[in-house]
Amino acid sequence: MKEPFALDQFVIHHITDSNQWHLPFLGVLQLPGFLTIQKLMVLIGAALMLIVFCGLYRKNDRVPKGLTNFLEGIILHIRNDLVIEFIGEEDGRRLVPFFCTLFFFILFLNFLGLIPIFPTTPTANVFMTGALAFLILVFLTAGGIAKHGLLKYFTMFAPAGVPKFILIFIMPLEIISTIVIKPGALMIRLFANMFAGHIIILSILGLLIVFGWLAALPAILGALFASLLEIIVATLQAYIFTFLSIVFIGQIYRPQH
Amino acid sequence: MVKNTNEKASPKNELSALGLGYIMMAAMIIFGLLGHWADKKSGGGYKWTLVGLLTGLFFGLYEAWKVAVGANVPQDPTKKD
Repeated sequence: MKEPFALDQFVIHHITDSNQWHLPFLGVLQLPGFLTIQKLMVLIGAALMLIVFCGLYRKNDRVPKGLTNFLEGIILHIRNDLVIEFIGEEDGRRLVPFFCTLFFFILFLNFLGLIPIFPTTPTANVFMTGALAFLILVFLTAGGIAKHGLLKYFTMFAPAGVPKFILIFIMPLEIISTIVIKPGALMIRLFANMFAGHIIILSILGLLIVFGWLAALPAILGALFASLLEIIVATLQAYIFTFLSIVFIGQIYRPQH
Repeated sequence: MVKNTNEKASPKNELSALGLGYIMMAAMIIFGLLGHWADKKSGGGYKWTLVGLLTGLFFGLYEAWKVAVGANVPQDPTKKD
């Protein structure tokens, strides 16, 4: 007797990582033990970055055209309007390559997850977004200590004008906020948005199996609409992750007292 | 004569408010999970989970308060950061 279709199992099976890749018309591709779909997508994303920025991006063109012109607009916005504005000229120029890499890497991974042959996306994995947030944590801690020195770094967590007896309570709050909460928020924001988006798309497609041909047109239109919305969400979340990373690091590198 | 104060809070402070909602959520999740772990270690109940959630809520409100206070501070337009 055929088991009844479980929509929740269908969604969870597709959203979670595995080394069995169900390809359309080609069956199941068994990946090697050390590789999973999300790890493979990270490698593909990194390879795409190299192809686009080392191959297709023509940085020696006097007048940028086409893809170079498009990417250069984004890079200049990140450099002039975000990094240098929030972190400063000297440190900002050194960190521009890192933030550009961060933005485009997250963007490429988010977009790869929207290609139908990939059932999931690496940024829907909390460990992936946690690793990206950990990079920001390194700047917030080691970067701040390297820039200001250990003593001045910790005195930055004492807001100006606060009576000393209140500082005993405020300073631990500020330290925990900088070291735990802000990177945690970056991690959870990106993970939650990408995870939820894919759950929505898979749930709508699963209704096609639950209700049969009656739900065909609504399910396909719903999944199409959700996918188009996910394009906007994917771009926005990459931008917000990068933007807030710049803001948080700028608050450490250039404290406003 | 009406004085043109040209007072405006720094847009940088207002932009940092973009992340407030998720900062509050992240704080509640992180401290809630810590509280849940403490409850499991202490043999059950919900006491520490609730303490963790309230601590996270307090952190979120503290961050919101900082942004609100910063937004009300007039910036000197002649001073460059």
